[in-house]
Amino acid sequence: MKRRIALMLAFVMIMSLTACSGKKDSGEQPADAPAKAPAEEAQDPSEETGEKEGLTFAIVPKQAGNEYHEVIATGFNEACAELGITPIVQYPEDTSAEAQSTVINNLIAQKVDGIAIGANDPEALEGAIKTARDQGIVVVTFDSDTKGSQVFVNQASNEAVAQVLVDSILDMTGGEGEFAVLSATSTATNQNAWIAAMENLIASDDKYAKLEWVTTVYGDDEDQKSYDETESLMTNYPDLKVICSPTCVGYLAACKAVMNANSEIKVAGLGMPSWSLGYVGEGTCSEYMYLWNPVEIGSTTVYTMKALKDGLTTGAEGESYTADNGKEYTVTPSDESLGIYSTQVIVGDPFRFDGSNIDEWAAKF
Amino acid sequence: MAAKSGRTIQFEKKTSLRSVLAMRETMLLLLFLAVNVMNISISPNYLNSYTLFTNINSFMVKGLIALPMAYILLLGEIDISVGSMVCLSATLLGVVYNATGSIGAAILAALAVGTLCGAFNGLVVTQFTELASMIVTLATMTLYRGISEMILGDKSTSGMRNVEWFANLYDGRVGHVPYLFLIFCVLAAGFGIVMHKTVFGRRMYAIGANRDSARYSGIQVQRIRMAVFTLTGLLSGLAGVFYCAWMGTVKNSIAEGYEMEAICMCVLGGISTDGGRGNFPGVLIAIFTMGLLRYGLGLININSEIINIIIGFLLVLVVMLPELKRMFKV
Amino acid sequence: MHKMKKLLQSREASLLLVLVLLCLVIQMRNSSFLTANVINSILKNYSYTMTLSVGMLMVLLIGGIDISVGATLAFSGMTASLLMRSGILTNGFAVFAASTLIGTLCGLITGLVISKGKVIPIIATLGIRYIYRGMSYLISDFKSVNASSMLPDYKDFAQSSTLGINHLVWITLCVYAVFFVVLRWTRLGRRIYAVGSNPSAAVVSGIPADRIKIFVYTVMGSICGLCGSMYVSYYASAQNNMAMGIEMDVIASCVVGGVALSGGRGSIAGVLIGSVTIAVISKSLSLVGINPFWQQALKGAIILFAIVVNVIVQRNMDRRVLERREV
Repeated sequence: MKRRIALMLAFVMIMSLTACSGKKDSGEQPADAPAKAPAEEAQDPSEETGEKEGLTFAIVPKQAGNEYHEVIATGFNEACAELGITPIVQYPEDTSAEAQSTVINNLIAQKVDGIAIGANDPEALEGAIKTARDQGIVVVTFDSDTKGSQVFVNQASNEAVAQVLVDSILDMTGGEGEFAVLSATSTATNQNAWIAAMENLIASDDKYAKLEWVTTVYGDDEDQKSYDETESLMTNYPDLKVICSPTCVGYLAACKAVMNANSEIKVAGLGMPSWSLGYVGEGTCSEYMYLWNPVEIGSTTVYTMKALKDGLTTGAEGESYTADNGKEYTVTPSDESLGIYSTQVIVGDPFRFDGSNIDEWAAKF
Repeated sequence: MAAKSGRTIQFEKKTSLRSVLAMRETMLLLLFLAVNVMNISISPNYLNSYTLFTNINSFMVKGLIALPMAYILLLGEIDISVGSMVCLSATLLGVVYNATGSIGAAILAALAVGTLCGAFNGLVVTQFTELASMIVTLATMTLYRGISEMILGDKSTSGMRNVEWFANLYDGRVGHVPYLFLIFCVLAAGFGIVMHKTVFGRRMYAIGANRDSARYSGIQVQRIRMAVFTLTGLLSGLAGVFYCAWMGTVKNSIAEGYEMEAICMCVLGGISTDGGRGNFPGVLIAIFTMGLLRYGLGLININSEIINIIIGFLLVLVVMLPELKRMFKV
Repeated sequence: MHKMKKLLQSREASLLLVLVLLCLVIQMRNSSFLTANVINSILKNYSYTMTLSVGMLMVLLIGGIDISVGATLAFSGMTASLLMRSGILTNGFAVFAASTLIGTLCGLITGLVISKGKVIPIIATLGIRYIYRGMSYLISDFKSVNASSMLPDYKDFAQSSTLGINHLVWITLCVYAVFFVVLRWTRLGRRIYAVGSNPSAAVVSGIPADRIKIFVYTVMGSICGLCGSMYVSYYASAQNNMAMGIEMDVIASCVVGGVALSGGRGSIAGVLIGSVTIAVISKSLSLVGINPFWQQALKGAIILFAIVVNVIVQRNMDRRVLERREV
């Protein structure tokens, strides 16, 4: 009897252990070479950091399987490798705030030196972030801000994003007509910030007066839901001219739905070049789209954390510093009306992709 | 201890079952120790009691739901609406707090709503005994979360953590030990004692083992089922309160999937979904085994999806154990 | 005449009445509802949920349950898409076949665990759900497969139609037709009902219950696999989190269609009505301008209503049978 118990237990343990060791190289890493080694070492550095040899930075993206965030993580890993920092990429279990909070607590236990978060909720992480900062860990946010973070690495200024989006809508509608917005989740900070900035912009200038914003729907950054929402938009608003989707998943889903329905509707928005091949360019639903370089967001996150760690900046507004990549950054003020609670570091301006350059960029991300 | 139906065939089955149960608990305990030994050897940071408790705290909210879920499963029922009840009571807490400014009233509202939801489940299940509780709670799962969606729409409600003592429900500690953990221990002890040492507990076993014979032996089956479903609602409400104290903000998608995790913990702990079988200590060990396994594997940055695979394997293996054992012997 | 009366009193008839009423209400508020275009789009959008319901019907008929369908669907759809991306599968049909095959294997494993391992279905499939979902993340290296790496004929399949009916809807109709015949007119179908309505009697009367169980879960797996490729072809993208939680919609379709979770009771016709009802509720409430945030609550209320009505109808039917006997 006892022997059988022991046998069983051994079996279970072996199962789980083989499962873990099998995973380490295949699952946890986002494929790219520089990232590979650090994960294997992940446990040693955490020992070492107790003695302060070399830094360990961690990145907590929104969810596993979100490719946009994976590209950001690639940039993060590359920049870490360049600076001799050990990177950790840890995905939360799902898109909930408590899953991210659990991951942050876990990273605190590993005594990392910096945590970068693509926040799933504008407020819920405050407690966990406070604990981290109390222990001297540098915390920044990217993609979406949350309360408590030291600096928000913003992909582009909200005004600039709103400007390109509204201008694309104006151009694609031909100056007047109905348009709708297909967003991600209703609590996504960055989406709401852009939508708010778009509202401000449209109200501020008479040339947008003939645009009619019929509705905003939420596809939750899920392919299926975004697709279905687009289909209902087409049914519910027969006079719709443009669907604007400031999220890569939504943009792609909207393009697919519109093309499949052979509709005249145009799609404007922010899209990933590699996903959107075949949907962008002349004779498609979308002549051009915008985005920034997600790899650069990842690397800027690392440089910002390093600068904070080295004391080059405190993250207070108005400060300027030259980061390790030789670029000079200025910390711009927060904007609570747009849901940005932390001071910002702006990565760059939105970049336009169209038929002429999409193939070239699709090879990169 | 178990059912009172005393036909010989069943009796024989039971004696062998008891040994299986004993074995499962020993095994669970060993598994629990193994997980801890693994965690300690994997990471030197594991045994830091402060951070250890921080991480234990983060699965205590789910643990709170697993307690009444053990009763539900023991009765041979299932309740998959618990996640939605947590969501709805947390929603009410936020809304009432923002409307009245009184966190006390908000907590009461949350507990009341939880209890009410649970009672409604119980009512439908006892009035329409033909319906499996799985279907009823499937419907109410959609309904309760739907009501939360009606109330919140696409917004979230927040600000509860601005009340310091409320935030302390989750954050506060005695030494290194969080209040939530202490509360959980007290509740767990209470649940364990009721299950194993009281008439109520024995009756639950009897109903789970054979509902009809329990009824014929004079147990008020429907009343007990009603009570257990209501209790589940109350505890879900409590979990909702602690969720708010933890996160301080509520949207309509919170606590999704809690039901399956709670069921998973109970089954791993040896409660059979067939009803009438299982011990409470097993559930407690399972809660901590699962939580600490996640924490430990997280410490070496193993992806949560892979941890899920391991937990899935464990679940199936543990339940298959008696059968595997029989196959080995033959 | 007698037959007609019996038909009118059946559970399916009362379900159909609910569906017709629902459609009429929607039609009155939005006249564009009952047009070919909208109906086609609703059916197309819910084709895989409806197809899965057939498999779930059989699982429920033998007294089991399968909450791993979403995970199995994702795993087989993902694997087939990866094979397509790597160039191993070179035409759309092969993708469908591969996905179905993988699903079948997954279902076979589930069936073995349940029948040979003697694990209670809900627990077995709960565990398996974690495993298959995790595996689909693993094999795809946490990435999705995009439209650009998919075969054109595969992507077009879901968007084109024959005789005015979308191809996906055709698949659904075929599956319903096949299993209508199987459940109604074959020995296998009768055995499935027998195992569900009284397992021990079935065993005593010489029905290989274990084999029937394995068969049913395997078929459920094949249908998941088939739906996996339907899903990927429809959205032209394979993501790891696809069809998450779809099992609840599928079970709800069956339950609304009058299938009993205790086994042995339920029909293809009922499931068809049930799944169309769920599809109409989910898709068309937004057409009549009902606040989208009310959808979920309404859906829950309607499911609850349907199952309670079902019980009441059943009670009446039983009473009538008793009365007739007394006469």
